[in-house]
Amino acid sequence: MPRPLLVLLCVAAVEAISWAVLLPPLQGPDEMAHVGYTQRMVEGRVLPWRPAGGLGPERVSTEARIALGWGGVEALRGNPAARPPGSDVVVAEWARRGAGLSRAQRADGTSTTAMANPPLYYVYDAVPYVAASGAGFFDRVMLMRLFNVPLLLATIGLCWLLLGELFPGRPWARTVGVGAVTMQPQVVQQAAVVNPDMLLAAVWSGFLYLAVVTLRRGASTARVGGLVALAAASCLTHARGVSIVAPLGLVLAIAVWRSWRPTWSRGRWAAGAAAVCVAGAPVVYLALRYATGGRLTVSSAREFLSYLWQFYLPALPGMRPPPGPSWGVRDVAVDRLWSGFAQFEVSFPPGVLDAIAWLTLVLALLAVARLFTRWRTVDRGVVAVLFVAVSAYVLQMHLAGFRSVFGGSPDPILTGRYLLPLAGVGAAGLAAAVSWLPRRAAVVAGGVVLALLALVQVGASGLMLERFYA
Amino acid sequence: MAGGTGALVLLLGLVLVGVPFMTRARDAPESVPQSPPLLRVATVTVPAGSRACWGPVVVDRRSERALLRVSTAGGPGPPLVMTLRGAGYRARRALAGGYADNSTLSVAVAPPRREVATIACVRNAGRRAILLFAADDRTKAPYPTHVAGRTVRAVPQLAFYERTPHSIAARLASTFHHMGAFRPGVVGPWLLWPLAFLLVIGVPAGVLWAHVTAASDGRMSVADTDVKGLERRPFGGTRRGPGRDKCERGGP
Repeated sequence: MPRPLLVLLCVAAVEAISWAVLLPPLQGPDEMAHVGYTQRMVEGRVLPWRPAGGLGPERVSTEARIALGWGGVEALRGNPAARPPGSDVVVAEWARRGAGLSRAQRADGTSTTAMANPPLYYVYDAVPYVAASGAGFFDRVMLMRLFNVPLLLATIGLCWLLLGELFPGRPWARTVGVGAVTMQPQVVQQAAVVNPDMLLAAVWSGFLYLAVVTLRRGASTARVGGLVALAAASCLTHARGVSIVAPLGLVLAIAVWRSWRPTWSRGRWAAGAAAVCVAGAPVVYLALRYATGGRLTVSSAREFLSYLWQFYLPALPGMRPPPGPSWGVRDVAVDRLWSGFAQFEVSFPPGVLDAIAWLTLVLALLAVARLFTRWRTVDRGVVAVLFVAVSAYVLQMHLAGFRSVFGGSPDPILTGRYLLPLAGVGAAGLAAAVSWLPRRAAVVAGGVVLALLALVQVGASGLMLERFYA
Repeated sequence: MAGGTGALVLLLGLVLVGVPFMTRARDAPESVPQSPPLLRVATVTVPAGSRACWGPVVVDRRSERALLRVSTAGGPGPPLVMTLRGAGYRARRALAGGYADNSTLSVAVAPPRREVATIACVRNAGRRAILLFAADDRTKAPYPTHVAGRTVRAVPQLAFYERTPHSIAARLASTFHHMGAFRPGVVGPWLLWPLAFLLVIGVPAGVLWAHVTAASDGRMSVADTDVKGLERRPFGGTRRGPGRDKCERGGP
């Protein structure tokens, strides 16, 4: 294993373990809901997956309820004035009240919001739950948290492989890109809490790597089988993972085309393009129908497009504000991706976020410019697949987000941690942006970027320490 | 040079931002048995001559001030007596009347030698009822309040502070001790101190070292496709690619 990768993996493990300890139990986003899903599945020996909803009133198990109360979990959640109980006396009080609980009192939770998710992650997280079933509730939760660390290491390793395919012969560019993923505080937080986002990130990182390998070296039974398996895993991890079908289709289509190499006339090409458009029309219709909650009209379709535009750009004359709260790309890709830890109440000062926003914009523009300057030599099939992967994933989130706010909910759905499956693409973009410079300057710039990211990581840890323990 | 520049940026950041952050004096709570509510305001009425008690409230050796918030319904506040009673520990403090409505009262407390679970009581020694600001939503502590023989669901807001402000760095040892609560037994100061060192020093140094190593490896490495028909494996070594045109195309 290359030494830089080995060091990055060790760094990631230290970060994830530190955050798993630093963040008080069950203070991750929706963490109790995810723990409750696993507990219901293991203790009740049922598969509590309800993709169509109809979950009924949320209720955690008796064991969890006692733990939440005496552990100060509910009081602490999103409450900056509260502090976690740190006294051995309170721990003893909880242990006394939680002692002698029966299996039935572990299994009597009914539903959590997480039960709308597919079960793959919860089956994975059932392993540490079962392994620690003889231990106390909080010990089980900690082990479930630590079981995310291998997923983080897998994500980093797969991003390393991906960047190795995209930047052959430039290990320093690869290290800058993967180092950024390693230092990203939201990545570390999601690796330190019970949450399926890290599994989805690992699956997508593996998929993107295998997709690039398939395009560059040709399709084989193993590679296609791997792609299909990863796509299935993505769909079974979270509903957001269903969008993987789009890049999967494109990879297979390009791989088939490259091995077949048809010599078609222009007329045939035009007919083929028309057929794709015709086949795509129902997909567009169904997508818009989903986004508008079944109320698809010209007006609601225009409202969706207006929402999409205003998410990224200022409103054009005549555009009405989109439904729901004011929420845009800055909120998702900066404020919630680089900040908004715990229950979103731990954040960097606005000045730091502004600096990150500007730096992100500059690096993104450099990456795109780099891509265009290398357009003649780049593998356009690879670029197309990465582009479609990002677009499909983000578009699916927009469809879900619009559906939510169009239906009157204040929840815009999109948030920073949902971008973690695209970590490999982000790493590639950073590596491309830095490699724009002459080599020596690029290496120095890469070192500066990594140093700044390390400061962000340490700073985020400091903010967490201040929030909960100062 | 790559490592030196990065290390300089890192050092400047840690010294100019990190050190002041860790050493700035703060008036931070030592413990918060009951925080203000999030969803709805609640109060506990303590009639004249009556007493409100709740607990177990944990008091430790740094609990030197207790903060309560009191509503007097407009008039000057009546005198109060606050007591904390636990195994081998008793603290009593009388508060003079005349404080303003909606005041946050700071009550000096003689701290115990070690942490102890207590029952906190506030007796209304005046002639007018008072309302203790409380919590009755999901932030509520898992026990009720007893007032004049009745049980009330809401729990009065209460926080303990040290007498003087202190920095995060000055309290790091006790913070690491408290961090072990509700975590496996292996989580304690013996683990947290080295983990903190690795996080603050090891992680930045490691990632910079990885970058410098990769940069020096990059100077010495053979380009992936400069050997005809062969391409470098991601983890080293070479393999024969299926076709030169596919192998030669790289990323951006």
